Amino acid sequence: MVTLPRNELPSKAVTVPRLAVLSLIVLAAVLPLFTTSYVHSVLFDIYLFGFLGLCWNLIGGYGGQLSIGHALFFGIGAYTPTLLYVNWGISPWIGIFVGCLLCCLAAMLMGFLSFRFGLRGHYFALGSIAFAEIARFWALSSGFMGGASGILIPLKRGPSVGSFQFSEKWPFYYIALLFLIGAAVVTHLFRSSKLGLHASALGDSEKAAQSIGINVMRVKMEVLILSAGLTGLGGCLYAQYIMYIDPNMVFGINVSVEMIVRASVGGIKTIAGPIIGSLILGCAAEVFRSSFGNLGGAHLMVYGLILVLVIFYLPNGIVGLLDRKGLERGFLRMKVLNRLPWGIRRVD
Amino acid sequence: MTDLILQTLVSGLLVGGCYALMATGLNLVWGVMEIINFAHGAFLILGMYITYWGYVLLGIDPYLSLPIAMVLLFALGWALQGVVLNPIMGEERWASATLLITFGVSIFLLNLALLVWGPTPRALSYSLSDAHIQLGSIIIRVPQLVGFGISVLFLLSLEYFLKRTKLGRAIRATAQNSEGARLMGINVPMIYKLTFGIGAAGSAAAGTILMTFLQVNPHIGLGLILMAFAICVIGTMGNYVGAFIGGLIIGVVEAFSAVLVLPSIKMMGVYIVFLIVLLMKPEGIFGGKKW
Repeated sequence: MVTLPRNELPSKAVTVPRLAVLSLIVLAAVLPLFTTSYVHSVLFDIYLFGFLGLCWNLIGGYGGQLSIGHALFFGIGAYTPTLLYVNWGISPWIGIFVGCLLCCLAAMLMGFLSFRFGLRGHYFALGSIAFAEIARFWALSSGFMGGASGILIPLKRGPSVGSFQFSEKWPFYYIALLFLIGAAVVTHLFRSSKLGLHASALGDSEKAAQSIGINVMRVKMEVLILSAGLTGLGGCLYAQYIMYIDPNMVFGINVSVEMIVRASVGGIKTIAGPIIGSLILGCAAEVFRSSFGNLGGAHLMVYGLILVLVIFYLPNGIVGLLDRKGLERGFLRMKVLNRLPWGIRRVD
Repeated sequence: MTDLILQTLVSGLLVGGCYALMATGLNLVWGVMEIINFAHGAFLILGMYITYWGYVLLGIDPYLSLPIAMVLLFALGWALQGVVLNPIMGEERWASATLLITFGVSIFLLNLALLVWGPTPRALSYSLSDAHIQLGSIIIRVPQLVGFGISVLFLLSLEYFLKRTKLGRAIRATAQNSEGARLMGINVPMIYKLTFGIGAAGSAAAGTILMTFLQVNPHIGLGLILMAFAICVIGTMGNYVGAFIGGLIIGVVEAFSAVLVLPSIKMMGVYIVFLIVLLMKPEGIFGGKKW
């Protein structure tokens, strides 16, 4: 028997007033005038990973296809413009689109192979990691891509807008902010588009979506390509900001972990979720980095803990707290569960 | 050349037998609860570190620390299932919740290990670590042979436990139909805890035998989970005999890609085989048949 999950879009219950959104954007825009470059760099991380969380949310949240291999697209997006710039001097502004295109092609390949052969749910999650890991090993062993030592992006004589290099870091702050707003707009449009509605239906129940005539394969492919292309843009921005990339940094599982955890903690299938999740986890990571020093893994350890606690107590993420129903369901879990019969455990 | 191929094949098969044990716990947990246990790699790493520190600090022989590691990890697995996983298994909602929770546990444990013990690769050097047997031109490393033996022993006793004992039958009944099992008076939450505990203990045993011939550092956790998944998928999720054959296949693939291509990217061969199987035959060589 197929039990259809109830339609649980917390976003429907929460309407954020336009004025609030507008004033937040204005606040973010004038913030660099009053703060130090340290704050800029922290906020850059928050915006960038908020952006990536939103990209992941399209396929991982709305589409219901849990990809743990998005580092693949991030890495392609980071490597392509960098290689084009270092070897042939092509401006990253052109490279970013080439990278985006390559990400779409990679997504087509990954999506076609995975979805064509019916890799569902957990199997897709596993397959996607394998794709990203193969790319990582390839980059590690390839001389052209700099191998394990990575690529240092050389600084042109004078900083110039044309080569995506600036004498200070604040322009990156605004670019990241624009990316974040762009992704939010894309998600907003996506959500009410035909593709987005089909993807949501698919995410709720693949069988039901199929039975009402949705071309499941096509929808999955399109959403994955959209998500991958956007993720690639984020990879390029990151590479130009740090000015150094290596395979473990951009193809490693940690990138995928950041995207998934930030989106899931904030609340999947929402626009505010990944942004709020990124804000909270970004600040938490910064606090732990400064108190534990740069000991490897301290902040990721906290991520793991937060992920477990949030999935356990707040299935709809932190945004779910704003939704009264979600709040009650989350905190009353222990009481309700003790009365639940054990049999009704699986939704197919 | 034939010597090299034969040597690679033999060591691949021996290591593959040990890898099969690594996949057992994952297999059991999937077979009974349909949970993909992402924390499995972290359990393995913990098992390896228990063996390592047991030998370095307390002087416990690696093979003696096998039961110790198993008991400790059994307790951890039991507690994890009881506290975090059991409460959310009764819920009809996002099916990936259990995967994300074990993913979170995995991130936590692996980075805890990184924080406490650092990224330094550590290897055991004990009385048997360099011992080998020469058969003609082929060298068999004793730790790998012993590991293979322990792995086979573990699988046989698990087989006996599941097929012949009352508790084992209860586990299989729960796997078939949890509602039916509950109506027959089986304590389903307890069976889940027991299963997860046995799974964790199996990974501890695998960690111990891998520790006798491999180096440990927290970063290898991800590679080991993926390898264990590959083994399970190749041999059909939930099927032990399949997993054993899958382990042998993966061991041989790894050994040959190390010899023929490059030792540093031997895992790439494993992932490619994994992807091919995942794409062409996701139900594995036994065609979806559990047990």
